Amino acid sequence: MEFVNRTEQDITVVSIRGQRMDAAAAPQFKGHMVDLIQQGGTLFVLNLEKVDFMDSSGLASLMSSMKTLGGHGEMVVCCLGDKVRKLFAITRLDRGVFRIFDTEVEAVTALSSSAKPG
Amino acid sequence: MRFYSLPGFEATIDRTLPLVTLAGGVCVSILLAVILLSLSDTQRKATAIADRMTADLRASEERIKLILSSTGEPIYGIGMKGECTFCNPACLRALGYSTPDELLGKNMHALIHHTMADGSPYAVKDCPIFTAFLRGEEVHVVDEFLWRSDGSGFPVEYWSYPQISNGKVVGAVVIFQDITERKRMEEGAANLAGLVQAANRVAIIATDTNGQVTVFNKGAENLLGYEAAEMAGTPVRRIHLDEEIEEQGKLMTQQMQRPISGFEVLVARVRGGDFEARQWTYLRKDGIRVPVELVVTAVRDKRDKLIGFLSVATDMTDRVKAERTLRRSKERFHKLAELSPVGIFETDAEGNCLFVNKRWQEFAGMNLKQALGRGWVASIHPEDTAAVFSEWLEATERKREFALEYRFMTPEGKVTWVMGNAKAFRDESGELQGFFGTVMDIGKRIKAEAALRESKARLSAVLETAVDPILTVGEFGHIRSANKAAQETFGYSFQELEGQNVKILMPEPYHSSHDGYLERYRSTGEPHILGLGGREVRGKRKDGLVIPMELSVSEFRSGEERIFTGILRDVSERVRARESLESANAELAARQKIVDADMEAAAEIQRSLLPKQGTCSLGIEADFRFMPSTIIGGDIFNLVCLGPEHTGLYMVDVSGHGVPAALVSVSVAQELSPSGDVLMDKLTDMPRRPDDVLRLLDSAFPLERFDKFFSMFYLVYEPRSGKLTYCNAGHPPPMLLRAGGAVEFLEEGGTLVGMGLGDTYAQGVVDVGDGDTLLVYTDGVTELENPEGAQFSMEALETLFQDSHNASPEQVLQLVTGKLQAYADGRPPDDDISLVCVRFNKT
Repeated sequence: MEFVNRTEQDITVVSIRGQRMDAAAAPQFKGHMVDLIQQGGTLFVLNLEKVDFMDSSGLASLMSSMKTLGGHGEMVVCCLGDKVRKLFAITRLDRGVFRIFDTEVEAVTALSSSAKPG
Repeated sequence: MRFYSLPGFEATIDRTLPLVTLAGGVCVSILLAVILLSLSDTQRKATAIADRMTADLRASEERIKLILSSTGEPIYGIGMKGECTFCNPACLRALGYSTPDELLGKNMHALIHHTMADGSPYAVKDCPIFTAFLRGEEVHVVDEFLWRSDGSGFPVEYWSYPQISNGKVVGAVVIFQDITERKRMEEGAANLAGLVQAANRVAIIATDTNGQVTVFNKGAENLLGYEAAEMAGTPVRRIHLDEEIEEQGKLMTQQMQRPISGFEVLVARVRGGDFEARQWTYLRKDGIRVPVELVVTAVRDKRDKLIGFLSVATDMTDRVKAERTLRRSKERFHKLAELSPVGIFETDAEGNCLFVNKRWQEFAGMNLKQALGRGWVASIHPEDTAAVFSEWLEATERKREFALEYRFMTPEGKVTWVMGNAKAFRDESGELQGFFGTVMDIGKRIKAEAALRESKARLSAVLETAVDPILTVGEFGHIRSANKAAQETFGYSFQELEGQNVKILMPEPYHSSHDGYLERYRSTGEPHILGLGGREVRGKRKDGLVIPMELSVSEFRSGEERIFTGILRDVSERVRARESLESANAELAARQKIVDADMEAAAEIQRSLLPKQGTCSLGIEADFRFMPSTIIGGDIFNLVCLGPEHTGLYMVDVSGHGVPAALVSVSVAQELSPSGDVLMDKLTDMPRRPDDVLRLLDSAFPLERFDKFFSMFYLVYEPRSGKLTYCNAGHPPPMLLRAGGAVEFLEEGGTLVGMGLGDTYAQGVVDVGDGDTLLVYTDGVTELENPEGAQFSMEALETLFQDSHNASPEQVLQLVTGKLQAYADGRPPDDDISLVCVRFNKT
């Protein structure tokens, strides 16, 4: 699984290039995110545009990444495909767990405005 | 002098060359003339001498003696008793005596006339000389023998005249002549005359000085169709073409500066004494023209007086034709030679060049003119000249074909390698006439050969340095080559291997079956190893040790024969490594078996946590299906009895699959035991509210604990009131199919358990009536993929469930699992599948 990082102000945008976020990809993703957090990153936008399939393992890696952040920042997601959006709906992760945006620009804008007061 | 054809002289003669015939003809005529002239001359002389002697005897004996001495003819005199009375020097010479005393007074018959030509005694009474002079007569005898002092005899012609004194015979005078030469000439002349007449292939015609025919032989009759008799005395011009005579006449007039015409044209040049050979055309009696080669010569008498002409003609019809054919074939040959892609040359017997074609000229860098004679030698590469000459000499001496590879070098230094072949051609008698040969450019071949040699050398270097044993084998299995590695690996020298059947390098059973493999391949083309890539075999060393080897065989064709190349590799190491790997694998497999057994046991434990038949059916009729994707899975569910008035149902889906998920699920199930204090509030002994239960679990199983979370649905049903409370934590919403046919989704609750968001959980409450049916499931159901990768989907499940209206839970699940199996089309599910169906009844 491949990731592309882009930093905009204090915000790190991570684009996930793999199509499947499953048990095989999850440890890699989690490792990548933990590295970024340990390097001091606090604000993350996860672009899931390319992700076509996410199972519970993939979801777990996403959530444990967020837990690693431990409330010292925020992790938002954007550009969800139909299946992934449905998964977020079923698991209610769209209800107060992850903020979900339609586009990367919206996500970045939202994060930068919320970060300032914090 | 005239000759006519005498049939009696006809004899068979062979084909005589025209010139021989000519010479013969000339000689014949000259001889005939000379002989006849000299004969009459001698006769006259003898008669005169005898007359004179008779007259003069009486006058002066001295004078007679003088005359006798000066006379060239042998003469002797005899008295009445046959005794010699005188003899002249010519007589002494002829008879081989030196002084007259040796003869005088001797009986001449006894001395010189005693024996006949055939060797029988000649009695004196038979001697014509005696018998004649005794009677006083003269006699002339031809062809008797006289004998010399040395005992040799010779043929003579003699005349004897009686000597008369006073009317009385007193003796005789004998004049003789040695006719040895004449006889030979006569015989030769007779033979030649016969030849002339008999020569029927050559036309011999003689004329007098005016061109009137005097001789017309058989050959002339044959050639021209005239009889000798009708030609005799007629002008010879009638058998010549007027226009030819005229044309030639004009030419000769010009050349000889005097008018020449008619018969003169034929003989003008030979009047001087020469002969002339020229082609003429004869006109036959029937009008047909015949090309002839005509040799004309003058015939002279003894005094060199021209007495006529003799011509010998050879019919050129065949020769002309042959020459024309030859010329044409030569032309054709030259034309062909010019087109030929190979160089062609022709030389005479001494190797002088007569012809070379264009191609040859290109090789040699010289033109035909330059090559002629010995010129061609310069075109041979200086280093090859000696070889060419020695091969040439040897080929000529041994009468075999010249064959040599050599180089041409042009004056510009361009070198061409050629294969030269030449053959001698000989005439009918086998005499060498010349050589005829070809040269072919073999530069390409030479280059190819060099390339081949180089590639062979390279190949053999590669073979020799190759680490792997390499063998080539003929189609009957006999070893052709074996590289160093092969010799070392098998412990044989090449001498020991060459020609051996390759099966000596194989242990049984290959040793016995290998010939069969070859035989099968030869007859059916069905390979055993050939071309099938490497395969493992066993090889047998000379010391009997069997070694595992990998063998790959390829085939190539050498002419008609198949050659197999086998490349071997000693794989003892690899086999050892594999064997240890195999034993490690076996050990692993054994351990795996233990793990599998453990897993099976774990699965058994997990299954034991699922609902049991007959447990807690308070107000509920239920059925379930559990299909883990591996032996054990992360799904777990159960129906639990919650005191006397409540029934609980939970379903948990732990993230991930397999053992880790299963362990978490078992752990969760333990927490959810009715005897524990999660589901039941021990203080009130009443079931806890579902949202409280999930809140408890959320704090008990934080994500950090196992790096796992789970979705969960939990309900508590109170049959008495028909009240159903539930909480849904991130679980696919269960479907409640009302007895009336409507479907409701039980979605109230919150997010996944373990996220630490338990305080956000809410409780849902619905009233259920008799016949309402609830279907609880995990996402393994809705996310089940068909072979095309499309998910089964919640909508499909809803439709299916709705269609099973009024069916029992068992029927519902039968229908659903049937559909799911058909949808997956044999593919094993990626995720655990759990289904629980419940029909509510009020008590």
